[in-house]
Amino acid sequence: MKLDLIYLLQKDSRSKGYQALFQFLKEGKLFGRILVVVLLLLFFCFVLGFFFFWGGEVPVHTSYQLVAVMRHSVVYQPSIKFRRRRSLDFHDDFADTQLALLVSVCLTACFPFTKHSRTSARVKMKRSKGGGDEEAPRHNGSAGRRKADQQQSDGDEGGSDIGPADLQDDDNDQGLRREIRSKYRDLISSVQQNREDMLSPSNNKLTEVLEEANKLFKDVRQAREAALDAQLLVVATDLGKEKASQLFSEGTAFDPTAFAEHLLSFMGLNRLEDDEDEQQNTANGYLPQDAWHRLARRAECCFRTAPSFHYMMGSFYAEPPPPKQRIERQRKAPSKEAKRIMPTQLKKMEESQQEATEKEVERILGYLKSYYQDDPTSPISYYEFVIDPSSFSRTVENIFHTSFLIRDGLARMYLDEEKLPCIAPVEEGEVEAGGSTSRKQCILSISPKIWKELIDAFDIKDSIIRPPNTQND
Amino acid sequence: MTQRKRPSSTQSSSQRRHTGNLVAQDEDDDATFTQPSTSQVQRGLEKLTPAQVDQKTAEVVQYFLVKDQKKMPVRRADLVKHVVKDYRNIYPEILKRAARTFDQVFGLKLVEIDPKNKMYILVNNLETPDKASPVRSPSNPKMGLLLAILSVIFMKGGVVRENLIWNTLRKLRVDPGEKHEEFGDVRKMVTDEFVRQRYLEYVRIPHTEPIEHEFRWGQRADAEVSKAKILEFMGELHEQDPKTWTQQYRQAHSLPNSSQASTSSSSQR
Repeated sequence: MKLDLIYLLQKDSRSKGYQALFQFLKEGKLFGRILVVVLLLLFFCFVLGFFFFWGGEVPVHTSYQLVAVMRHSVVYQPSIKFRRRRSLDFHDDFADTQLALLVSVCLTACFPFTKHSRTSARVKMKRSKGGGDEEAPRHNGSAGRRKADQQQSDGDEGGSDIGPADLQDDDNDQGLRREIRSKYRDLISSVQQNREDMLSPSNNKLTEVLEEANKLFKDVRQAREAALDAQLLVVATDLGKEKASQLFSEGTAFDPTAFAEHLLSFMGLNRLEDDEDEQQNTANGYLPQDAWHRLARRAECCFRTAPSFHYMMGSFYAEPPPPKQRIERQRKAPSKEAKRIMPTQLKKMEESQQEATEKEVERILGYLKSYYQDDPTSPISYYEFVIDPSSFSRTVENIFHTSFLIRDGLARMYLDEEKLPCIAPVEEGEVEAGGSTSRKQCILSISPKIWKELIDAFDIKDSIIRPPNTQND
Repeated sequence: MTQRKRPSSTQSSSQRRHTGNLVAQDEDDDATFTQPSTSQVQRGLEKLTPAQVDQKTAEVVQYFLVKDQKKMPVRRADLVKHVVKDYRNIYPEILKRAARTFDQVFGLKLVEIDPKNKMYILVNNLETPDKASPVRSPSNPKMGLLLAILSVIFMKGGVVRENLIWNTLRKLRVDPGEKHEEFGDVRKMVTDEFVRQRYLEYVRIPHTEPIEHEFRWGQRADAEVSKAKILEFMGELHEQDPKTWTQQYRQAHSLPNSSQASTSSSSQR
């Protein structure tokens, strides 16, 4: 009863000073409380004393001003007013003492206010700390309500900071409420974190959570806990909706994991044969480079995408053909002029230059054939054929001309048992002109040193290919 | 064709938009653009020569073709601002003719995917081949990834939380947290590029903490992708008859394919 009265008074009082005073009366130290009560009594005695000693001539506004001190926490300077009323001399001394006592009473009356400012600072600190924890799971609907509750309840908690818990019921209430709140928060976090677990249709965890929430709700008295309960319900119903949607699909359920496995096989995953451990999914096989391309090609059948616009032949890119043409023309120009100056002689020269190679090639073919026909069974060593022991340059020319034979398919080169190259002419009907047989190419290099070594190795005395009669300058 | 006069300007104007960024266009343009009535259209047509109208139609067709390379939808505001310009009084007629050209010349369909914002895409009107086409054009691997995602969403009933998609991708050796060698930033590709191309929709789920999103089929996917074919693919992969997934089968075969792409409103606008 006592608590409720003070509580009601507290609620009704608008002034913070009164609130603080009542708090102090409730929860302050015993000594402090007695002091305050005594002072208040003294103060009221003095007020009454004014009425008695001054024969009821105390101006009404004075007492009001005294009370106003408490209301507005302004230290009133009573001296001015009292000094004016010096009609009765023998009252002077008494008035001074009274004055002093009055001032002291007023100062002690201000004491709760200073206490209140300290309290309010503590309350603010506590609010900021406590508010931080509770800010996190804040939601749209409950926010406004929460704030209003918090101010009041933080007022409660601020009060508890002032002194030791003498009012145990209130504290138990506090503790109980805190416990409820923390349990709600645990439930909410458990629902959020074990989401996958709760979603599986095999267990009833969601129902258990709701039943626990039901039990907790019986102790809920304030809006703050109710807001937490509402939040828990929102999260739980979300989960419930998802669980229901799982049941909704009839027929065969679709398992994304199995789908992923099948897709990997489709994309051509080469599974490692010895590693059949399915738990270890990390490098359980190796996807080929074109895995996704394979899937994309299959996807083209399912998609009706419009083909993208692109130029068929691609874009042009600049190449420098004009400079090349200019160079050719420049070269051709002087030769043409040269032709004009010496037409007849130059014609002959040109002819010999162009056809000399062909003639040489034919001549060498003749040599090859005649040499082959002498002894068709024995292979002709390539080196013996081309090398001219007397002149390196002619050897090179011979190699050059024989390469034409091979290119045109009129001769062929092969390796004999000793891996030495041999050359033989090709019969007319053996190889088609088109060359469907595999054509191989190789590059021969020869230097004077190698040439001399070959001469020594093969003991070449004279050349098979006679040097040409006409010398080309 | 007299297109050679203007292609440079249309190319440059479309290539400015070609980067694929949907820069916030002047919405004033679209807001002030009121659909001209048929009588206004008639009057407008009378003032112009047929050659001019054909030219404009050709420009619109070319704009669409080039814009479609990146598969971003074309807004009506852009089209009017950059191509149609002075001919906006005969805009419906131009669009009708362009749609006809697409249909008859290219075998494409001009589809309006968003009636509110007036966005258009081009969809292939021809029948899709049953197996891979014989033309060896280079395939885009992103389509493969998109197919995987769309199949999962479809088989799971049309809406899927993003975590399911990320988990499935991880099982396919595509980790959204890491840079993939073929796709690069996978997360950005899926949540940004595919969404802007309107293949997917990525919406936030309310009341979740931390913020989660869910994936749905986008408007372009509704128009372009055949659910029946996806179900067939599923059947192939799992070696089951597609009919075993009864609900999805019903969904895939109940809507005839033509209504999946909204044709009724497309050709008129």
